[in-house]
Amino acid sequence: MRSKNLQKICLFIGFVLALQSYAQNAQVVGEIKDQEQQPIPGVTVLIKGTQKGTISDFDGKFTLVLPDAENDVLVFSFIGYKSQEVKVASQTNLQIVLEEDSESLEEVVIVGYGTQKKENLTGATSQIEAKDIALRPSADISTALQGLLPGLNIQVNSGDPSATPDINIRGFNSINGGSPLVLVDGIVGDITRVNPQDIKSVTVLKDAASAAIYGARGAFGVILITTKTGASGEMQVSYTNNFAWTTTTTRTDYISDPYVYGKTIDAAIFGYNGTSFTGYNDNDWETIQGVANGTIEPFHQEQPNGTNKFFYKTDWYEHLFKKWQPSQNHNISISGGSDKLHGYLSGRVYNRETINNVQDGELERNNLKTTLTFKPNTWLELSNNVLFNREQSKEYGGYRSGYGGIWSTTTWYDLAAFYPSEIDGIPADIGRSGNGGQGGHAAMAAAGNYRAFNTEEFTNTFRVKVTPTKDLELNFDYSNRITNTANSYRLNEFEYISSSRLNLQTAGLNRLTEYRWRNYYKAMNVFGSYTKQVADNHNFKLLLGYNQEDYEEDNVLAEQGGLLIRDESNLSFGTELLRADGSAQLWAVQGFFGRFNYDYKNKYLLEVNARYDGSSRFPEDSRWGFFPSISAGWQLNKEEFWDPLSATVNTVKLRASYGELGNQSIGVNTFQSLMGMGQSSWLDGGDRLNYVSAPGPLPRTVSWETTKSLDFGIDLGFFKNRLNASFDWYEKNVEGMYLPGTPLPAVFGASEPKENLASLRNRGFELSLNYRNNFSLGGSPLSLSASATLSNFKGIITKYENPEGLMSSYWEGQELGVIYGYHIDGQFQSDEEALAYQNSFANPSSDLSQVYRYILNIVQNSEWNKLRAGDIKYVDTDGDGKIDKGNYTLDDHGDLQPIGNAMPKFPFGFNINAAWKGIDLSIAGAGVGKQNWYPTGDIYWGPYQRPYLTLVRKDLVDQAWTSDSPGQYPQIYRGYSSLGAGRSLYEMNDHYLQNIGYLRIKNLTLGYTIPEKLTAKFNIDRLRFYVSGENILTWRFGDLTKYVDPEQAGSAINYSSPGSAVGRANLRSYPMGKTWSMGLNISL
Amino acid sequence: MKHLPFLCLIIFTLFLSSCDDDFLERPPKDQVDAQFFFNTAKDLEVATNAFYTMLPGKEVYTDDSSSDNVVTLIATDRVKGTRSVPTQRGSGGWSWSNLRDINFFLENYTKVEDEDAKKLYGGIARFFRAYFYFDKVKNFGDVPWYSKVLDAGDEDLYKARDSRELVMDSIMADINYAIENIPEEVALNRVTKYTALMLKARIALFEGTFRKYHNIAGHAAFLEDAAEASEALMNSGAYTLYTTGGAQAAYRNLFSRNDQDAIETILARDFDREKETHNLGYLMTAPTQGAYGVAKDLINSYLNADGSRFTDTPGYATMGYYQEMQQRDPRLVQTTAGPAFTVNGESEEEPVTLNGTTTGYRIVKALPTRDQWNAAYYDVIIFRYAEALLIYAEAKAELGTLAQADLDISINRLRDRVNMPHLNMSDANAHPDPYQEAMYANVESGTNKGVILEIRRERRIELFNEGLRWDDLMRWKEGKKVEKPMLGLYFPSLGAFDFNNDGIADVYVHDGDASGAPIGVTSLINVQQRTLTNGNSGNLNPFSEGGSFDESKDYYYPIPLEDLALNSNLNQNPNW
Repeated sequence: MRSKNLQKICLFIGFVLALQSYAQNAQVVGEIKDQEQQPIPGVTVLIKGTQKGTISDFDGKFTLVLPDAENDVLVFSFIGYKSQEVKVASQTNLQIVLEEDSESLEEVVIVGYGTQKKENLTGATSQIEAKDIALRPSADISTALQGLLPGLNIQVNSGDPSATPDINIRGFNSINGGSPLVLVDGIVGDITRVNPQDIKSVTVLKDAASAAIYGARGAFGVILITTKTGASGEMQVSYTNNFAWTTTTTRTDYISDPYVYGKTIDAAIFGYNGTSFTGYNDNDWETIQGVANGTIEPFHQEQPNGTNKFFYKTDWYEHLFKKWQPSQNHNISISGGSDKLHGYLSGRVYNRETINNVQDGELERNNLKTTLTFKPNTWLELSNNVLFNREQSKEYGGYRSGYGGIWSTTTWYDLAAFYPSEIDGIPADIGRSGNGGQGGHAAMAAAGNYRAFNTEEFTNTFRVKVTPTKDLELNFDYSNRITNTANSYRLNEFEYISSSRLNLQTAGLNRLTEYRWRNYYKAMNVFGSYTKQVADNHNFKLLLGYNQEDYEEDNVLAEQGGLLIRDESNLSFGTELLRADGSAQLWAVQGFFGRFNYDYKNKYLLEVNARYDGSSRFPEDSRWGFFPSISAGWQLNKEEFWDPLSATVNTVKLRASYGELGNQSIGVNTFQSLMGMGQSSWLDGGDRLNYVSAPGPLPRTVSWETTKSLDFGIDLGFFKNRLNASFDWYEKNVEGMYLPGTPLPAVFGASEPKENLASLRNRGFELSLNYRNNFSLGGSPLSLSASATLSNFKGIITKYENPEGLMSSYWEGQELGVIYGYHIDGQFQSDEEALAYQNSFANPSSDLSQVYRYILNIVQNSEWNKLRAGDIKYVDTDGDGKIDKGNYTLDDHGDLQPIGNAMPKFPFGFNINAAWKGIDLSIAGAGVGKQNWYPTGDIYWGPYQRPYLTLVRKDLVDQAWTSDSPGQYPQIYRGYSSLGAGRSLYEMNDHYLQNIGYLRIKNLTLGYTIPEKLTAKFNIDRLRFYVSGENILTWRFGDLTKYVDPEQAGSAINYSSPGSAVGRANLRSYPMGKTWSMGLNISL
Repeated sequence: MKHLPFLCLIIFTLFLSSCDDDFLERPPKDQVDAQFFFNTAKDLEVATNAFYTMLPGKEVYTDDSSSDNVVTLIATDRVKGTRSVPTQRGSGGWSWSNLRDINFFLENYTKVEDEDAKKLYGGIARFFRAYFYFDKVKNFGDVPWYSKVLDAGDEDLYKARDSRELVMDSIMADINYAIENIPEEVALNRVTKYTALMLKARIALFEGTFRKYHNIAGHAAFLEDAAEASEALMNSGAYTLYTTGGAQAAYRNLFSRNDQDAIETILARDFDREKETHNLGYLMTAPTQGAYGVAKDLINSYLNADGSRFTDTPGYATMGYYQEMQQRDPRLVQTTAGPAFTVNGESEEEPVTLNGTTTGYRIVKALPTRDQWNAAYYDVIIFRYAEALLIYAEAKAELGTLAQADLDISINRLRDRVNMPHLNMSDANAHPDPYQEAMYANVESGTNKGVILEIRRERRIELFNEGLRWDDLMRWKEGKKVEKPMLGLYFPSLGAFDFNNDGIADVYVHDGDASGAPIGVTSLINVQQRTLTNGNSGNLNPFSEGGSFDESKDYYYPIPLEDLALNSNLNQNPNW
């Protein structure tokens, strides 16, 4: 497959070169100056309709050979100037004067409830335009934004195409979690459901000053997505497609040699309970070696007691997982219209196969968007926007007693390399020590066990914009969203061969579970702005508005058993009602907001925001909150004293802002004494008991968490803005985090009543650089733009009720993400050394019980119930004759010490775009400078985690201790006894702590646009072909195994839940994907 | 421009219409405010339904693995004497959330007008509070008594423990209230008057014997309560012993049935293949999980089929597996795998396998059919009538009021089920079993010593692996019992052994070289790794390190450090 792709790329490049190879002769020279008669270097001079052209030199001069001087038109363009077209005709010496483009100086940035000129911005805001991301054929906008906007952290947790990444702005914002407010055209939306092709721009509001207009919703930052609405003018049709093949980013060549696998699994289980998994004797080992090297055909052999021994060679990874997952994406959009009526219509179909090789699962997404804008007269604009999204996915799974996906029922369970995957065409799952298996792959093969998820979302937004006078603008919008989700789990019985007695058995349940969610969301905004200029230099702008939203959710669950028809999935076929239940949720918010802007000669800038917000989540007396902010800016470059420097540094702006935001992200109805209903796990005669539970204690107070945020920024532009730099430093103090109050004795019988009492401080910085320029290369202009971002943040708990200093909780002064662990002094190199260490403790079985728990307590294996060569050596750092956590308090944490931090440090990104002769190239990279991860999960630990794991990575076994090579891990014999709480490999320590920092080429796209002159004959404005690769190269900063993706290893951290900061990702999920794709863009 | 006032008016109207005061009032649709609840009998029923999950499930059948009955693959802290003081508040059994729920109910339920419902559900709530506190007293001794829902500001949060006397009297008051107020009705999965009687008998026997052996005043009243409660249950005629399958199968059948019935079973936790499963089947069969083995001294305690003592048989200690399984109390091979062991529902004999069991004696009591070895759904018995019979005999014996007639209506009913000769009180008292005597050092050498030892033998055998053994050792003050060797199968030498007498060797014992194993051997034992007591011969000795018990502290559990720190009036149990 890979070589096929390469072939296509070669063909494509050949095609490009062929198109470049014709030319004629007629020379023109010229000089380009600005209005002040200064020469302008670096201006692009292009022959219209072609990609031929040049760049003006340092004196603003250029020379160009024209193929058809009579008819050729030259296009002069340069950043910050208006483009100019000049008909050459018979001229041979051109004098061009380019006008400064006030438009580009007045570059506009989207802000809350309006827009702002970029130069007048005083808050911390980043924006990216569609053109900067459009080159990437990404199916999902959030992944395409990775690394592009400083301070916007996007954590992709898995390769599952239906998964949602974690998004966060400027670090963890509250112990209670929470994510940024995402507004799609002003309405709360789901970022993964937006069609990337519809996007016009993405803006991130990072500081309190920019987000304050969203009051209680903006505490975690705001992401504003603006979509295309079409413009009056000629009808434009564009079509884009993408055909992609995804494979994993990690190694997948797990041990499939049955001899090596058998020896490994036997050692792992022997060290634990002294038995053999394979049951092989010396002859059998010889036989399996023969099978492994191909001299003996795989077979099984019946034993005198009716059981069988198995000699097969099964590559379970290959059996279970696809090497390539194809996908395709088609997008069409139409826009255009008259001044009175214009519109935009787009549609997308995206589908992808899943990684399941036994049974094809599928994911499909459809998007439809229609926007119509009516302008009956000069002061009125009416528009309506309809969005329809649909997502469907189906995944096969199942096992002998329920539903489990491919990750739980197969990789976790003992599908040994020496067992067959089928016997006589019937799936076989022999199971642990021949006791019978789970049948995961058999259930998938039978295709009767699956989950089908279906979501449809319909959003309608109606807007009115009235402009009674030039200075006054009034807006009204009303949105309605209906989301229907239908998730079903269908289980069915299936047949497979199981156990060493080769029983053909029927297993599985016959059951259908249906979940239905019906959500209604309504939002209304009314706002108006008034602009006034006084005495020429004093500019005022006032915005006032009102917002309200309400949400209603209604859930239904029904489950039937004993369905009469196997192939049907409808409750009507059920014969036994197993469950029927429902639930509901409601909330509403209301807010009044205002913004006042003032500037003097665009030099001194001031902005004040305020919002008064109410939420149904709070009791009446603490329901409303007031959130103000102020920000100011100074454009130094507009001062006269700056003039001497302005040739090099043409923009200097200092910014400062301070503001307060609220966070209402707490559960609904926490202030009422409510009794929850439920169905118990206690059955009475086979039926679940319905119960009502006692209400939890009421909180003492319930009100907003407040985020106070301070930001200082500087924006610099060099060489007429060819190079831009922007730097922000910020501090955010989250106060009144709503948490369980002062610890109470356990006899209280419930969690402590919550109060608004803890505080958290985040400090960080963001740096971004942008460079744009044109060069002449091989007689044609090369335009280049590059950008880079770097940021960092650190969160500290500044206030927390934890008088006892309990480390199971948060404490004052705690840095978020800090990992406490033990210090390890390497591995024991001999049994004697290990035993001497063990015996140096007075009572090893209790003094060492917190780290060698199982090793010392195994009762059935006297060879292995002691420390041995290869085991890691815990250091008694506090010298108290024990390896332990002490009281696990700040005063006494025994041998634990801080060994690292699980937070991503110095996330960075870069993006390079270059275009030359119709060839475009873009490279985007992203990464994390440093991040610690304590390895967890079966992919990493293999037989140490579970002795009879299906997938065992090769480099683990290679690095297990032997007397010849000390390796990195204990002897495989340590198997089961070393992972799990209190065991040597599980307790966090500095020996295995990894740096999972990485740099990854997120995307590389190479495109070629066929010259317009050629395509125009077919009425095609633009035709571009491209090939693209996602996640194609990865550099690991640490020495993380190639079987684990560094980006995915960081996935334990959920940005919405800082408590997870030192959580452990077990990685037993969809592996990260590396995608190769190709496609075309056509515009008519 | 002329439209401006008109438009502003529209916007203003919209604005106002949305600003109604109620907009932010969103009362929940799927929960009920407590003040509007507790109106009908049904309300009381669903409120008490929440308490049932306090009762154990599979834990009943796993608790013995942390006692002298069973040797697990990984020795437990309780047996090894290495329990540690927990840190986190509310951990290590010091959890009080269930009590808060019960007290919340008891504070509110009297609002209902239906008197019968109040009696029934008030009784059920009191049953659960007695159950809750019994557990606390067993683990911690003195504990604070609370009969109200505590506020965050309540000073009682910081009170000292109440005396054992006060707490036990309150427990008895609760359970007596339950017995008096819950109507007589048999229900398998619900708390009934009979369940309350059974719990009362269990609590009273525990407290009576605990006080007697730990020298705390007032034991006689509790023993009388125990005898009385169990007698009331026996006299009610509501239950009888389960005998389906006869002497050779009824006992084993009772435990692994998918659906219990209320013949012998007083309260069972119901499991269902579709709705609720448990993992006992997995725990009992997975080589890395189960590895349960019955301790040899229990195997030795089973009488011979003729009623004589196995341990009186010459050479009993060096008897091989096949021989020792012959002519014994039929409960032996219904508890551990015998030579002709078949899995329930199958006819083919299982190959002999010693891999999954530490002592070589695999547990088959409550082992389900093979399809449940991953997810099991057979019901778990929480209370059964046989226990009442044993309590009756023991309470009377400890009181000194036991007569042969009492044995005949209690223990001898259990013997009848398995066709075993009756226990004779005077024989037993005349010749106390030295083997049992060695196990229980603290039985007073009074006239009833012999029969008390026999009642303990019967209790240990009948109730094996039903979660009562540890409590028994505690109340008898026999914690030191765990320090006695916990051995396994006896092998006279290295070599091949035929376990089921079919002429084919099943087990091969070697000292590192298994190449001499005859064809057909299904289990290999390497004595370098699974040691024998005498090197190349003797009993399997999986737990050579042995148990440990500190008389000065191990009868109670420790209280979490955080709770001690938060309440200075709360003191740790002695010597923890």
